Formats: sequence, C-alpha cells, structure tokens
Amino acid sequence: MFLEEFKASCKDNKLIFIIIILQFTTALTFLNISINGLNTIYFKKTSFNQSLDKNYYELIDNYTGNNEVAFKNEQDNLKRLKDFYHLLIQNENFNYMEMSFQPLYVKDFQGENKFLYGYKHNQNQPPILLDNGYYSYVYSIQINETTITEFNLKLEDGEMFMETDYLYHKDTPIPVLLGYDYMSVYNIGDEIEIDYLQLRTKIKVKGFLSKNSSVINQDTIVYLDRYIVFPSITFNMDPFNSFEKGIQYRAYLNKVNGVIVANELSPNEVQNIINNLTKISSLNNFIIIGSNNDQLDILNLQASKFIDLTVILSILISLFATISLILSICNKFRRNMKNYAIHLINGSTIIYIKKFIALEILFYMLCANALTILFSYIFLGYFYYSTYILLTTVLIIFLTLLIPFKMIHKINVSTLLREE
Amino acid sequence: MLINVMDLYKYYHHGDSITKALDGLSLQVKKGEMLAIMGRSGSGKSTLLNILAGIDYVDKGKYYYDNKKVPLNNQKELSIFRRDKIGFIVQNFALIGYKNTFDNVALPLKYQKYTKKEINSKVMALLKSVSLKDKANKYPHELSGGECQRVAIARALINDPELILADEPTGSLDIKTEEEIMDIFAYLNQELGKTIIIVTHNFDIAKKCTRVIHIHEGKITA
Ligand SMILES: Nc1ncnc2c1ncn2[C@@H]1O[C@H](COP(=O)(O)OP(=O)(O)OP(=O)(O)O)[C@@H](O)[C@H]1O
Ligand SMILES: [Mg+2]
Repeated sequence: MFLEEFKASCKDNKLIFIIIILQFTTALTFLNISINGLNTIYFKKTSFNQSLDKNYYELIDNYTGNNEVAFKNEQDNLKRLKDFYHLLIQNENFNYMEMSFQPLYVKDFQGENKFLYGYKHNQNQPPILLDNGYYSYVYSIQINETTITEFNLKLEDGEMFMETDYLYHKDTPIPVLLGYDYMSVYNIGDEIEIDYLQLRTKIKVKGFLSKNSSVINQDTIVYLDRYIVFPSITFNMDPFNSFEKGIQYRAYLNKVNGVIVANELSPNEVQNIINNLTKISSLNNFIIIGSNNDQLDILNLQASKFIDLTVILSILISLFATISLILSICNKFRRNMKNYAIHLINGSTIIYIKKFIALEILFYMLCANALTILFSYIFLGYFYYSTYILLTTVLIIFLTLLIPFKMIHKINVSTLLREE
Repeated sequence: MLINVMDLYKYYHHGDSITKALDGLSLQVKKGEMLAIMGRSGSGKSTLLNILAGIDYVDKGKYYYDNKKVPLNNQKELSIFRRDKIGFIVQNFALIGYKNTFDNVALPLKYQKYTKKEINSKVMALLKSVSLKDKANKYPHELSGGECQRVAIARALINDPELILADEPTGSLDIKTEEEIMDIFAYLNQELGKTIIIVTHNFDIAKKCTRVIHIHEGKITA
C-alpha cells in the first residue's frame, strides 16, 4: 500500500522528484564539505597562530658547487660545522629549528606511489638497485625538538622523540615518526632498511603523527601525512673514514640550514649574531633570508578570509538549496493533493496521508544523505559525514513535513474533486 | 433520525457578487430512506451532498449523524467519520488514473485489515454485479464514461457503508445499465436496509426513491 502510493507519487513527476533529491543533496553536501573545510582550516589556523607572532629567519649556506667541494676538502671544516651547529643550538637569544626535506631511500618499499618523492609533480622515480636490493625514494623531513614545539606536532599513536633519539648510534636503528597516511603501510615497531645521504642503516617506527599535521616551509604549508619524519641526527664521534666523513658533512650541512625563531630580535640583530657565531667557528658564507613574519601575516589573512568566505558562501548555498527544496516539496505535495482527496473519500484518513508524506520525505532524506557521503568522497577524497549534517537533516525534515501536514489539515476535498 | 442538518450556509464570494450555494438549508433523513435530491444545475445539490459526506466546509450550520455531532471543519475527525460510515459516488467519478479497475475498487479495503484473498473475492463479486468483471484490468482512460461511473459505484459500495451518497450516479449510463444500477440501489435499500441519497435530474429514478426533495438556490422548496 505505502510502497504502491510512493511509487505512484514518484512516477507522477519524475523531474520534481529528481530536483528534490538534488536540492536536498546540495544543501547537505555544501554544509558537509564546508564543515570539513572549517575543521581543517581551524586546525591550520591554530598552528599558524602559534607561529604568527614569531619571526622566522632562514639560514642558508653559500657553499654550492665548487665552493662545496673546496669546503669539504679542508681538513677542519667538519669540526667547524659541528661547532657552529652547537652554537646555534645553545644560543639563548633564539630557538633553532631544523627542518630539511631530504628524501630517503627505503628498501623494498610497499607503500603507494603517493609516498614517493616527486609524486606531487608527477615525477615518480622507479626504485633503484643499490647493492643489496631495490630502494624507493620517498618523502622525508628531518626535524628537531624545536620544530615539534613550533608547529605543535601531535601523535595519533606511539611515542614522541626523546632527546636520545637525535643521537646517532651505529648499531641501533634510528627511531622515526611516520605521517598519518603511513598507518596503513607500517606498524609501530617495524624496522625498515633505508639509505639516508648514503648512510645505510635501519629505522624503527616509533609512532604516527595525527592527521593533517603540517609545518611551514618558505611560506607554504607542508602536510606531513605522507612523510617519514626523521630526527635530525647528530654524530658525537669523529668519522673513522672518509666515507663516514662525507655522511657527516652532508648531515651537518643540512642541519645548519635551519630556521632561527627569534621574537625579540630585529633582522639586523639576527644577522649580527650569526656573523659573530660564524666568526667564532671560523666559518663564513652564511646568509640569512629575512623575516617570514610578513608572509605569515598574509597567509593568515587569507586563511581567515577563506573561512569567512566558505562559511558565508556555503551557508548561503545551503540556505538557498533548503528554501528551494521546501518550495519544491510544497509543489510536489500540492500536486499529490488531488490524489490524496480521492483516497480520503475512499476509506483513507488524515493519519494515513501523513504517513504517505512522511515516508516520501524520509526517502528523500535517505537518498540525499547517501549522496552527500558519496560526494564527500568525490570532493575530499575520503568519506566524511559531519554529525551536524544529521542535525540539519532532522531540521529540514521537520520544516518540510510541517507544510504538507498543514496542507493536508486544510485540504478541501470537494474542491479538489471538482477539478478535472 | 440518521441525518439531521440544520441551517446550513455556504456562500461563494466573487468580488461583489455572492453565490449562495446553500442558504439556510435544513434536512432530516431517516434510517432506511432512499432519498432523491432534484433541482436545476447550480442549485446546490452537490454542495449539500459534499457537506453530508464531510468533504466540504460550511460557513454556518450543524450536522448530526445518528444523534452525534459531526465535527464539520475538522479534517482529521471527518476523515474517520467518512471511513466508517459513508460510501460516496462523486459527480465526476474521481478514479485514480494509475490504478486499474480492480485496484480502484479495492482501494477502501486496503485501508482495512483484509487478506489478499478476501479482497479478491469481494472485489470480483461486486464487479460482477455492476457488469465489469471483464474490465478488471483496464485503466480508467481505457473505459467509457458509463464504465467509469460503475467503477465509482462499485468502489463506494465495497466497504459496505451504512449511508450511500450518490451524485448523479447514472448520468452517463444508457437506460438499460441505469436500470441495473437502480436495481442494485433498490436491493441495498430494501434488502440490506442501507440509507441512500441520490442526486438526480431523472424523474424515473426519483420515482424509485422513497422520498424526493427539490432544491432551489440553496433552499429546499418541496
Ligand atoms: N469552488 C467554488 N467556487 C465558486 N463557486 C462554486 C464553487 N463550487 C460551487 N460553486 C457554485 O455553487 C453553486 C452550487 O453548486 P453545486 O455544484 O452544488 O450545484 P449542483 O446543483 O450540483 O449543479 P449541477 O446539477 O450542475 O451539478 C453553483 O452556482 C456553483 O457555481
Ligand atoms: Mg452537481
């Protein structure tokens, strides 16, 4: 009985039927996606705000090409680099943040292509054959304690780096954290063979970062979900051969190309301090890229504008879709009234008719919600369903039921039946 | 007294002009009567019948059914009243286009607790008595005016109501079918004791009723 009438009602005007479902879906989808957007932006904003009132100065060495070769060939330079690094770390005027994006070679990598270095630019490299197997080049970042606190990095699972984790021991695997997306690839405790700047060693999974963890590098946000987060290791002992010396050189050159986080200092003051430190450690050729503060301001401004725009736009679209949905539903049920009138002179009651209406609206709701979840997958790349959508659905159902219910209470059967 | 309506008023306003569809009409109908309502076109016959059936609103007036007040402007209660008491044949049949003859006639039964088998035998028996047995699978647009009318009659009777209201039930029937239908009404009235009210322009039909009233401009004249 119900099914029969429902089918008839849908068939009566297929266009309105489809339009109603589309309007319902539009209302919910925009809300869903914007709520999702808000969540991510809110997340970004909190990490921005943290770094907003801070001045970032990027430290960049000038040892490139021939310069670098000459630099490495000089006997004491490794020691000078190490000294300089320790001065940076120990300086009381600022915090020193290490963040280098040196990819790793991972042996027998089983993860998806998205983890591979170059994926973002469609330039995946096939695994290469090193002496004991195939190695894939994957995204990795090397960080220190300051990076973790600066960007408020949190864990989904496992344990954070401890101080000793940053220290390289020849025979112990290096503990690493993995980006959220790696949860489907590795487990905590897994040991993986890698090659980091020709240092052939093992890493051990210590934990996973929470979803959407990010850092800011040269004014852009870098999400770490697909990164291997590697502690920026320090080498306590002197290299015992030239091969190891090369490794340490490369590692320390990366380490001194970090970011100075200085709130109370002007760019000039920072430059002076650095000049001073390089002099002490007998290095030169360090330049500083200015304060990131302005750029961060801009970013932050854009973010908050984006929030306003998304919120306003999505609320408008949702609202518009809801209103037109209600209109369509009124229209739909107005068309059904004649049919209901016939039912009403043939043993039906108002309560039954209300059940017809409710069933139909319920069906619209189910379709719209299912489609909303589907669209979330299409637009966001994963299934997302905010609980607010459920609340909104209930609200819309309530609103849309109200009007046809009112109509049916005021139904004028005789007039409807007189219509041809 | 089965039906007792008092001082019914129903006016239609079109700008300045007023159509008095019912103008202070009162009427009593005893249980077991077979009443004919006659009158010229536009005199208010259908309006009266619709109000008795509880499908039209009144401006003023009272309606007692079996000494109980009928809640004239409450759709929810009216719908229950209709379901329990009345079989109604409207002037333009009001069949459901997407249902075939069988399903149209079966509609009132579907709102009650009947098995498929019971519905089947009841509907087929009734279709036979209105000579529509072989049209059970036809849709309204495939039927003639007279056939549609008989479907509407069968549908009004299927629930075995105690009051049957019929608005020109034989308007588009030939004389032979008209007689068959009137025989059915007569049977329902005389053998089963049903109360029947028929609106008609046809004096032959009126003659077969136990009482005839005439309406003119919303009032009973004789
Ligand atoms: N919805 C309406 N709006 C305006 N006027 C109406 C409406 N319904 C009926 N009327 C008017 O009320 C009057 C009574 O109508 P009603 O249908 O009761 O007449 P009737 O006696 O059944 O006529 P007929 O024999 O032609 O069926 C008519 O003048 C009609 O035009
Ligand atoms: Mg009429």
